[in-house]
Amino acid sequence: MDKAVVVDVCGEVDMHNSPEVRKVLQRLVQARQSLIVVNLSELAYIDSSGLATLVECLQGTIRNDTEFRLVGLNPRIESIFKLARLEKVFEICEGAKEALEGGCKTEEQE
Amino acid sequence: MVLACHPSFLQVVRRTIQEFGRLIGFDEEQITQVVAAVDEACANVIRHGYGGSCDEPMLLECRRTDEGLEVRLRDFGRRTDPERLRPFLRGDHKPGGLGLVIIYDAMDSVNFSADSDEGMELRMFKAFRK
Repeated sequence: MDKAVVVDVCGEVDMHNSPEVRKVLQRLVQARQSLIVVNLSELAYIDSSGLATLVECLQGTIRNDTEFRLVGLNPRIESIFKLARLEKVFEICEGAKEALEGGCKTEEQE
Repeated sequence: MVLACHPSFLQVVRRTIQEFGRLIGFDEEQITQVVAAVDEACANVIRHGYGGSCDEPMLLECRRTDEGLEVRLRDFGRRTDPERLRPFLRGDHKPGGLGLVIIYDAMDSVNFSADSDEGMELRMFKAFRK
């Protein structure tokens, strides 16, 4: 696959550091990759500003015809996505390999 | 606890609420929910309470009751009509406004008030599982 990129978001993302995360992701969106995979497996916490950054990226990738996938959500991060009502908004995969190989299993395929 | 309205203190708030939640017997999911709600509430004060100043105080109180956890967050800055502090409707996914959605979805009751001469007060409650 041409121009696929995996970016690891680690630690805790809140309003203190989410602008930096936004800067990195927006740069990738604007570079018009064919696929952006955001690896959240080492993410311990994300707040609404971090989630808003992901939503903004998703919207940008839709406009650019770029695939955008999240991987590695642990139960705590999944809970936060559900609280924000975003659990069905993103394409979420188990791991980067699955995401890079062409997408994630949907509930219907399992 | 009394904290300055600086984003770097949000991590301190999360750690404190996490430990308090464990101490009073919440399970991990409940702890995640309460941590998220309190973090978002404090972030709102930081973002909107004092017009960007990071030196002003916010007062955070937590109290265990027989029924659950009561949280009170008080600031002494700008006042907003509490009716404007409602989450957007399900399905309307805009990047902004997620903080209120999280607060209202995480907690069993949420009440904003602007009854004092200055600032806002937020009271939230999370019940123990029966």
